[in-house]
Amino acid sequence: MTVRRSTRFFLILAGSIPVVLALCLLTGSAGIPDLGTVTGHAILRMRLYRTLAALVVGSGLAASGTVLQALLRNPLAEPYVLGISSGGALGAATAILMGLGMVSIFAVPIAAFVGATLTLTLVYMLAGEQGIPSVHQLILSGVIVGAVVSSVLMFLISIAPTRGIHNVMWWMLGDLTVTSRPLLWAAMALTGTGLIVTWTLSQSFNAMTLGRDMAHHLGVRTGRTLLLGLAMATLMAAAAVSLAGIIGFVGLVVPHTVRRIIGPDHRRLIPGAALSGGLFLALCDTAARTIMAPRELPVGVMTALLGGPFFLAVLRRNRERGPLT
Amino acid sequence: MYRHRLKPRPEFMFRMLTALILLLCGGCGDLDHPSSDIGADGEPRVISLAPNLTEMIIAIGAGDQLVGRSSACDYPAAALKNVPVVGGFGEPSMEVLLAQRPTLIVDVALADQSLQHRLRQAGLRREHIPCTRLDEIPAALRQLGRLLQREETARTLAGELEDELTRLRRQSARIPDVHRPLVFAEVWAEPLMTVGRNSYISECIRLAGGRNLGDENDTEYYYLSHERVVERNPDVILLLYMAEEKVADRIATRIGWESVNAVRNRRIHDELDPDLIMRPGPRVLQGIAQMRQAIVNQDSPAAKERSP
Repeated sequence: MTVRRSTRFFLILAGSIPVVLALCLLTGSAGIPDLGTVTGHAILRMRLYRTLAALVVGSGLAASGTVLQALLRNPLAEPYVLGISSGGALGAATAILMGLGMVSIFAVPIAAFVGATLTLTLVYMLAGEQGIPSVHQLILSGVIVGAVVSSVLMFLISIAPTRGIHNVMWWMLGDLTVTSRPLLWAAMALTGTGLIVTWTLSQSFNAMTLGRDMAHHLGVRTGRTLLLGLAMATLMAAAAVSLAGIIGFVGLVVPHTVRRIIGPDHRRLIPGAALSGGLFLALCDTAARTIMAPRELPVGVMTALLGGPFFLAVLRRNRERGPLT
Repeated sequence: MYRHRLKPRPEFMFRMLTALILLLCGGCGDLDHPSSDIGADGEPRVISLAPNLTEMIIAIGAGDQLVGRSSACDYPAAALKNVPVVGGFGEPSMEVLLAQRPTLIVDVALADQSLQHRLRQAGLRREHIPCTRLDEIPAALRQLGRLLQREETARTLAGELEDELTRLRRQSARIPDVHRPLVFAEVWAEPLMTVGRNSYISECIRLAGGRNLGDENDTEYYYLSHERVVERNPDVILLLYMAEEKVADRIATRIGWESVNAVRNRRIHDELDPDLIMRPGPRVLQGIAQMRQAIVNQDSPAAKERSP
């Protein structure tokens, strides 16, 4: 049953790729671009990059959420919970307010990346003073470090000049406009690495969801899996944050929805969530830039508005059918 | 910086801060009633919470009555050197504000509506002086003149400004739309923001001989997509924010923008003084003049139209 269901899911997903891509490339404030003109070409190119960014960020966030949920055995785990996103935002905000954004176009993304990585390192160190931290300690220190990091961010915003606040707010709302190509390629490479490494670890993740002791008895090197998994989840989330700012909901809702549909086996779950996350974010972004065109809505608003009800519907349907997982 | 009231703000933090300020000020308000504190010569003691109003107050010769300003009020620097800062643009710290014993507060917009009640509770007169259209600038000058007993100077200044605006309007009316370059006024880069039809900056662009790309939207300021700018294909891009060097080059490297006329013809202008344009104050005519230099190509039909 599960196998059939997941095969069908992947077929539907594969079939929807061209549809979603067509939708993303052909809609927008300018309508269907006229390829006979220079402007039409330019518009198509812009949409192509933007869609690519959505796919990278969406798949990275969804995969990151999947991995974190498995490792922490907590349904609420996502990049936010471990303070990764807030750390990235703090790094970006510091760089913006120090005026580094004007020095180099890479300064802010790199700062975001460093902030995210440092935060996770701090969380990990705080959680496990002796050896490998427990899941509860990780979540607890993640929540606390995240809260502290957020307050530091709020402090920076409260003392910042108006111009600076404007840029920081942009980071916190999320935006998929690609400002530089090399940045997109870098994020793509990092997300790709994260996806491949986590997929090869899927068997270990499956064991880890049973609990660390159980996994240990099944022959999984739990400490290494935990550390590597966390590192890869951070890598993907940090790449997403540095490319597009903070986009919520994707990392939480997509893995849960996909797990409800195709079951908890990470060999299928990780690629399934990554693919769905990418397509979902691409759709959300298309909606965000067309609904009120030529005005643009923050894509984070769309992910919450579209993702929330869909997630609830999936939950409800599953409750009627009985639990799958 | 008139995009101020539109920027998304951390509401929650602000309410917390307000609550804190309320707690701190609640008790002390009654002790020294600042309302009875009229200056020795019977002149008001005024605090300006907006840079354009500060400029106007100085321009009408009422600088000696200014006892406080916002941190955004930085012109003319020499006249403001000894005027203490009481907080940010439209968001004063009540304690610092009260310490100046003002009798009048002027603003274009308050960051927090509850501030109005707190000012009233403290017995202060608050005058809200909106400046969202060009015509409101001379009106604001006159109003300040009445409030600060400088009516004569203010009326003259306002009259001169109005005459010049009328002259510019008459001149501008002669330029048909087809001869007006399409102007994209970039108020902010990330996120991309421009001025809509209801902004006085849109009026300025028109008076300067251009056509504002943002006129298709009837707000004051709004976010728009890169795609829309590329699609509309503006002839001129004006950067209305303080930017480092080479920002024009950076715009040229934006994906898709290489097809835009303004980029291809190198008509990206980052040399304008944003304070002249973004502040609806007494220097607005200089701002329009700067814009005209940038917008009107000397050999365009619009330029010929202007010099009969």
